[in-house]
Amino acid sequence: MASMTLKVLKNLLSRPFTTKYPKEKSKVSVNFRGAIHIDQKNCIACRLCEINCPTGAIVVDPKKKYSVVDRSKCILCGLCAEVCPVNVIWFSNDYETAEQKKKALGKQLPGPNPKPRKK
Amino acid sequence: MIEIFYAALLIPLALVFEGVRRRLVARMHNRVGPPLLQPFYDIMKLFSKETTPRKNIVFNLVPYLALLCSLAMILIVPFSVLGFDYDFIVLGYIFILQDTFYIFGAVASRSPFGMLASVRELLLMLGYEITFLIVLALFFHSTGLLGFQEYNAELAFTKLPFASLFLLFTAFVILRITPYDVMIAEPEISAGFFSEYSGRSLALLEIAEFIKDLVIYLLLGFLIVGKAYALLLAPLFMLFYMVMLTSSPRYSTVVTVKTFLFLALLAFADIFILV
Amino acid sequence: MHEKIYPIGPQHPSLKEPLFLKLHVDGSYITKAEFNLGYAHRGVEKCAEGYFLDTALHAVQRTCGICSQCHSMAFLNAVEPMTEAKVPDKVYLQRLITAELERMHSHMLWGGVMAHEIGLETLFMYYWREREHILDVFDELTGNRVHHSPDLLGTAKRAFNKKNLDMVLEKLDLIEHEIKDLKEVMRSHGVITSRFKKHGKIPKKMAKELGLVGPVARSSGINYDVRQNAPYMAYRMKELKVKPVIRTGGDAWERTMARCDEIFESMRLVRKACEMIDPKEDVPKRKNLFAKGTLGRGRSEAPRGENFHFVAVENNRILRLKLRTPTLANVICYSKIMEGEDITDVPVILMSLDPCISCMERVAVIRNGKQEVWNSHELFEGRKHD
Repeated sequence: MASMTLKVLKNLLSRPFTTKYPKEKSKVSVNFRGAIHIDQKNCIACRLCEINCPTGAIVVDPKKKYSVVDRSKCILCGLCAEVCPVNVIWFSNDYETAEQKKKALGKQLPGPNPKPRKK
Repeated sequence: MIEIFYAALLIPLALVFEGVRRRLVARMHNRVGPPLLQPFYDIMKLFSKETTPRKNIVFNLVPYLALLCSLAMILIVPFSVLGFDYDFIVLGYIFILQDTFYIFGAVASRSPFGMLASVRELLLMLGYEITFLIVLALFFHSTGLLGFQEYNAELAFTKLPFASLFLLFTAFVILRITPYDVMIAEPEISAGFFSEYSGRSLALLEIAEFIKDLVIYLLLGFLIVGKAYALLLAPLFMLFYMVMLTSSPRYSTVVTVKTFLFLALLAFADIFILV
Repeated sequence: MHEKIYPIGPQHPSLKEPLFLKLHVDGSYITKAEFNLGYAHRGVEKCAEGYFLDTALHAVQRTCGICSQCHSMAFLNAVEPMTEAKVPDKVYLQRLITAELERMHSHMLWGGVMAHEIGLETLFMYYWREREHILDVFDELTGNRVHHSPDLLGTAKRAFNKKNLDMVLEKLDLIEHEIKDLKEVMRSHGVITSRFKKHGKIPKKMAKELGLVGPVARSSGINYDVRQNAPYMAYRMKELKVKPVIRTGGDAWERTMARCDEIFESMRLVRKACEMIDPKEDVPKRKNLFAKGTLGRGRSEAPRGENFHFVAVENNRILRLKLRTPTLANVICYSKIMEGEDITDVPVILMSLDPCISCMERVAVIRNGKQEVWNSHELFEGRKHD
């Protein structure tokens, strides 16, 4: 009983562990799968990502060589990035991607220039 | 007449006390905690929500009656306003009356959670209410006076150590602090007293609870140390009780009831020793 | 005395997931307990049907948020022997590190929830504060805090380098002292022992009869752990032999102590595995593997017990997936151990078995009311012997 009371008093006088979120942003690692980006210029429309997606979130238009990710279905598992033969799908660690209307989730995220993949 | 102005100021003070209390508990948990004015936002939000439909007349009246009791308490304890000189019997009576209203409300809500909560509260009442009344009587007997306005004992805990200890103990149950808060145990009976109220009724009940907490902190300082220091010492008592709240889990019902029945016996024996 | 029915309903402050426990109470003592499920069914087995193996792996990992890696490992145990994948040791060790870290974070989550049930919110906050460090490790190693899916069939998505392994060891050193303190509080705080001891007692005979699994069975004296009795992947290496935590007694306090000790055992395994990994080695590139044969079964040790996957494959796509999660085996004893207890003890007993309802929900389709029982040989061959 005494050990718990001592802990409580010690924590009363130390800095809180949680961050004050909107003012101080939390840090995530570089590997975090936060948002999906597709480099449309180099996509060859092989449709491997569409076949392998567990939820059917990617839809590829083979004539225009354009692929659309439905972000309300995407579970950010990373399988499409693994199967893509030309490495045009990649994830950035941006975690503030919520929208207020469901239609806005169909819009693609612009994203900065693609970074080269390790493999 | 300035006392009425002070008395009206005590109601927002009770809400600010609650805000400080939540922030203190959060710091003990090593997290930041809500803003200091959070209880105001909560009450305003509750007023905008839908109230539970009319069940029966007792269920609907209980929040108003409980709030009336709380307001009556706050007019007595710090200073008697309006020229009436209340004594400790009225104070003890109002405390028991408020608890009885809670029990009526819980039983009238006809939910199984309410039934269990009311049973637990009734069992506990045997223990702590008797002790509370006896302790109040001992404090006032030591100065020979009965009224709150003339009470002037200073550092009463040196003359009445056991009574002060019993008073600190009963405050655990009145404030609903673990380890003795079985009647409001959330995981077991989902806060049985208040589980059927929502909206305006719940807002009034919450305000009644906040005011009662402030009254108890003021009363402890008033009786144990002295009339002038009550407001200064209220935060210290709150700190003590919050440290107890965060460092101990809840005892089971049987153990709690036995503890307070034993305490009532000790208080009864104390009458003969008068210490 | 006439009986009342007290619902620990689908929604209740003490439940983390919806389940329905109907208690017949007499005053405040329980005379009978009935248990109902079905409030969180999502159809995971149907989700995986018709998909390629890698895709089904990603669907199966999302059965549960707390124990996602153990589902992955059971599925891979079922499917990888059917393909001709040669999996290097580094991949096995990476999977072990993720699985044991997940066991630690699951037990810490459970410790916090138990403390919340008896009213000690401070311990809840402290346990979850330590758990944050492990979630940060997951973020760095695999890319996500929960539903980390680092596995592919036969390989992994990325290789752990020296920076990752240093971070793992540093975080373990950071939390070790505090977890020891918290275990000491659970062991010796007067109120906690009075609330936990002698409640929810499961004798060894009942545990054997009902077929309980996991730390629940191991704290009643049954010595069974899948990592020890049927080792798979990296648990076959002799340096990583598991010493399961066996206790006798079978009440809620013993289960608490068993789970607290398992955290330290997992910590030991992670430290050993981090020494054994070669940080400069790379994992093989993903290949499209073809599964020969039709039926596969795999087991793994989830934080809650033995997890069993049964897979039927046709043309490299999943034909039927059957999961038997450990909570499904444990939940059957609720009606027996609640009788005679007071209502005050219900949340303690409920949570001490560590139910994970969302993993557990399955549906049995009954046609014509006829019942058939298949044994394991028939299941494996795919036809019923007459």
